[in-house]
Amino acid sequence: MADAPANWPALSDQEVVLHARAGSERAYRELVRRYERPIFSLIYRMVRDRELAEDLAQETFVKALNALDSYRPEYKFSSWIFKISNNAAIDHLRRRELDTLSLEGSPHAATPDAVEATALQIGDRGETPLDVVEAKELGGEIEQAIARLRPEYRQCILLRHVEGRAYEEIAEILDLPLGTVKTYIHRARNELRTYLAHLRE
Amino acid sequence: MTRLFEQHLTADELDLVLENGVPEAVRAHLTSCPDCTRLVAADRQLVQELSRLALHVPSVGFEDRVMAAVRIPEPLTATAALRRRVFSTRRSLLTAATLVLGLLGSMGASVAWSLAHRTELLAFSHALKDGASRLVWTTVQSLATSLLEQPWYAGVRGMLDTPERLAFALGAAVIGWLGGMLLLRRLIALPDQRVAHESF
Repeated sequence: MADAPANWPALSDQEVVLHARAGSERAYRELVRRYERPIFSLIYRMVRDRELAEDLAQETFVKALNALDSYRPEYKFSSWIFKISNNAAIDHLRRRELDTLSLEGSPHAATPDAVEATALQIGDRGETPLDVVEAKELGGEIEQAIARLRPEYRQCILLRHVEGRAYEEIAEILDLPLGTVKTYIHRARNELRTYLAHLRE
Repeated sequence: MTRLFEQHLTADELDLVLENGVPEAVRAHLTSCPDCTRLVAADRQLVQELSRLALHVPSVGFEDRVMAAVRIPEPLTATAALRRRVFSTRRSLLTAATLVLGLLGSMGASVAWSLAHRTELLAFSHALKDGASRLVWTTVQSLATSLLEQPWYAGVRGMLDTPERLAFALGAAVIGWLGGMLLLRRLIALPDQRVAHESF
């Protein structure tokens, strides 16, 4: 009875959640299949590290699916799971910010050599050779430009123009006022235009 | 909406243009302002490029790794599932409560009315009973009459006028019925599920 529906893709998210709550493993898998790519892509574009993005995406799904009882079906499931994934990515970026050194080098460095040794190079994001090849491919330049944005601009522009979410939904996902979301998106577009200007020349 | 002609596009206006909802005043401004036209074209191209970015795919086995870490509740019984469905949202709870109240109210009203109109109800039930028994008796009589008037009735009656003939006819009818049932079962049986597969 628990795995009953024959045509899972035709069901709405809310209906699939009801089946999952009733103990259907197939419903859980359906939710993962629907959102694994958007969630992984969003997180990957936020943290720029495949392995870490997979860990955070997995953490997102486990957290969301284990807390399905607290999900209220009158809200969009996509907003709910994007909110969880965004929190996971932002928490990680905040932790990393605390752990890593400033661009100018550690404030505790005593000598110029120590300052240089502890300074972080721009573009040093633990990129693999694969990432470098990707950057040369179509779209890679845009991905690199997105990676240069501030995290709050990045999450807004990704949700708006990559995921195609409405302003109101983005405000709900990010817990930000609507005006702030609009401002961030506008500024993000301005910065991206500047970063990508060389492509149009 | 009024705007100064020389005023450049605001962020909100630019958003409207990108969503193809260009107000007349903005359209007029765009025809004569190369800066804003360039800005709109660049933003349009940027938005298009962003929307064309491919989704990244997690590695193989991601779904299974997630599923291994998820706690799936025991499948619910039909009653528990119904209870959960009823209590899932405020609206479903309200609908269920309205239905229950309506049902209880109509039952209560029905009982109260019955208690207040016992004599009418008794008279109605007697009339109903009389009418029904009359209808049954008339139906039986007409069926029997039409059977007796059939041309083959006398012949059939002649064939069954001894106990041996009656027993033979009953036995033949039972065998015929069983044979029919077996034939029907064969006809409605599902086809064999085995299908020949091409070997590689």
